[in-house]
Amino acid sequence: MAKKKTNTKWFMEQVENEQSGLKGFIRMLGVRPESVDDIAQETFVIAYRKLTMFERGTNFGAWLRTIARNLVRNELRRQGRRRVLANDVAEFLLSRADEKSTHPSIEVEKAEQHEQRVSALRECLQKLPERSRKLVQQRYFEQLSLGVIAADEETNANNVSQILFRLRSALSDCIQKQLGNIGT
Amino acid sequence: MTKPKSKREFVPDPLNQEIDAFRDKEAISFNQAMGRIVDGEPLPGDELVVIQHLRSQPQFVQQIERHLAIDAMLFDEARCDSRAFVESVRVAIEAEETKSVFVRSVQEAIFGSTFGRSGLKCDVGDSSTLSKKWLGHSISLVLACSLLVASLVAGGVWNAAAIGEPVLVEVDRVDGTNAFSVGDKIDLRALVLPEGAVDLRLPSGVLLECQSPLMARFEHPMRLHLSQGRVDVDVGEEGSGFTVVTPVGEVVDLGTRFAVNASADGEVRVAVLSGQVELRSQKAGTVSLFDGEAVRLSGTQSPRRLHSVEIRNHGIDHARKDSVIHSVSDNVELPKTRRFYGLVPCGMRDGVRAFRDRKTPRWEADPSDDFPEGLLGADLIQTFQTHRFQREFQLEFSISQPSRVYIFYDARYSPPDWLTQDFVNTGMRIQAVGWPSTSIVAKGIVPDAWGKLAIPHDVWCRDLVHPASVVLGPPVLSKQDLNATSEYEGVKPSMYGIAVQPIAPPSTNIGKSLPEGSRVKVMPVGIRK
Repeated sequence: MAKKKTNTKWFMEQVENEQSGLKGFIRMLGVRPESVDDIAQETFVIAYRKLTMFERGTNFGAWLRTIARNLVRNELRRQGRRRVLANDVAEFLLSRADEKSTHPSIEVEKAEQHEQRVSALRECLQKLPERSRKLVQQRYFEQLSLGVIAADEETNANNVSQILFRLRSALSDCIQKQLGNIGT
Repeated sequence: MTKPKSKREFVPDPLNQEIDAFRDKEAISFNQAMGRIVDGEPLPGDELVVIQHLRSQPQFVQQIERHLAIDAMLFDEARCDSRAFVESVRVAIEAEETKSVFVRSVQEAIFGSTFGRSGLKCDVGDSSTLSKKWLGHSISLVLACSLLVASLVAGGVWNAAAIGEPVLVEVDRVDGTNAFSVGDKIDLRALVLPEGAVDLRLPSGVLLECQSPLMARFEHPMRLHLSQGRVDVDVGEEGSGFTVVTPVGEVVDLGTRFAVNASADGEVRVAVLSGQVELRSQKAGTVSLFDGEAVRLSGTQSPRRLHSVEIRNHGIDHARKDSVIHSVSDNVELPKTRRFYGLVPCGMRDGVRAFRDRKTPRWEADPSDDFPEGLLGADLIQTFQTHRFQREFQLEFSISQPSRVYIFYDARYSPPDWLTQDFVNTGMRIQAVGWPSTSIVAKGIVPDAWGKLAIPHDVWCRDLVHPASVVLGPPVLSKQDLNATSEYEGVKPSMYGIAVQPIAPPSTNIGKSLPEGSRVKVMPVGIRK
């Protein structure tokens, strides 16, 4: 009983450490943003159920990602497939993730590395001009559709998508720069 | 030594430019299509463009991964509540660990109260019956499981908490479920209610009225975590401080009766039926809510007014499961107004509470007659007396099936134009009884033999043969009354009441049941389809 409690405590610590990186990984498999939490949670529940199969000392994050990949694979086999963005794109991204997982030279991002990227993102968000910050607020915090944002900004959804594209590119460059500065 | 020329420098300039232009065009086409896919709103053909580029050129793969990674980080950043996610995983794991306690109610709801007690003895019955039973069980099981998953997906529980303790509950009332029997005393730690309703009495005297589909768990006897579903809480005298924890905040009782409804999409609705509660959420801080006020809470927005709340009263025979009235709203935009309309399904009867903001007035039969039969069991909207002062007042609601809409209008005054244009006076009358003697709205009315003040109301009606939206105006004096005498100066009619009775289209000709001489108007004014 005491061992089980210790296991649960250890596992919950892993959930706290790994959840953010795992969600990012799941999103990169082409899962819709609104379904990311859903699949991440299923991943953790399955991991807990199969905890005896995990070898302590090995990479827990990589093990979680294997479970997540299998869940997304199951999702792609299903009729309807509502939880993925676009079937072919998701299948492509999944197969790429499978390839990466078998390549020993590619390491899974560690929790602390992910945390550094999140800190960098926060700094980059602060540097955004007012209008871009508003767009981030509308799209990600209020989760408004492109159409609703477009109506608010008196433009069309396509334009909003393009602005978001540029915004994400700029944030990605900014994060790289920040992390580069940390490294030097 | 001359530097060797790169291969590209040998290409004539015009062609070089064309290739660059083509590549730029290709990249733009990919970027646009990929952007829309990442945003979750692709156009036809976008997927094809993206997949072709991904398969042919590795730099595009890096590009989409870069965008998805930033997108994921932004969504994660926006949630600001990683604790809720962690807690939802904890709840799911607890469910795994304590399956025997947690799932007991589900098993009994699905398989009946004898589940697990009958040993090996079984009456198999014929194979078709058995397969039907299993089909039913499977459907229920799927329902229960989806409820479990959906509730966890909804965001878990806002405040990280220790694993809860079992709470001794006594079953007070059961409706539409075999999971419980009245009088049962159960150590309950978690509750999953796929169907029906149950009232549970806690040792502190707190009464929880649970409506399916519902999933909740106790942290301790004074703290309930609600993941999904509606719980009406009557705290009684000793239950002050009872707290309902939801995915977006806590509702702390300050001596009252209140309702909390957590939906699968993460929104939480809180309504105070009497007394006062305190809301504590990360988004809004601490907010007090009083009798008759209701708000909608989500993880991303400040509390917003909830216009109507369904009130189910025990003792009413709910012949229909759902109300035919939906989306009650008004155009009152007072700052910070949080008043909700009471929507009582099948609730129209002699003695029912008439207004949300007045406790004592009740709809009763006219002293000279029985309560009108046609009104009995209609869905009732409890309105607000204070709205009679709003000159431009508009109240809107929609009906989901063919219905007869009744308006109870203050019989002391001539009806306003919007009423006479769209509705017919049935000749029936009811009264709002129980006004305090100091009440201005009842000024001039002589108390009856028991000292009660009653305002007579004419019953108006109109039939709507299709689902529609209904817009009603303010209870204003007609021009005739305004010009009549100074008697009406500063006086306003009482706020009207509303009831809606569903009608079956083939058997109900709208004119048939109306008094002789009445006519039915079908006018577009005030009605939106």
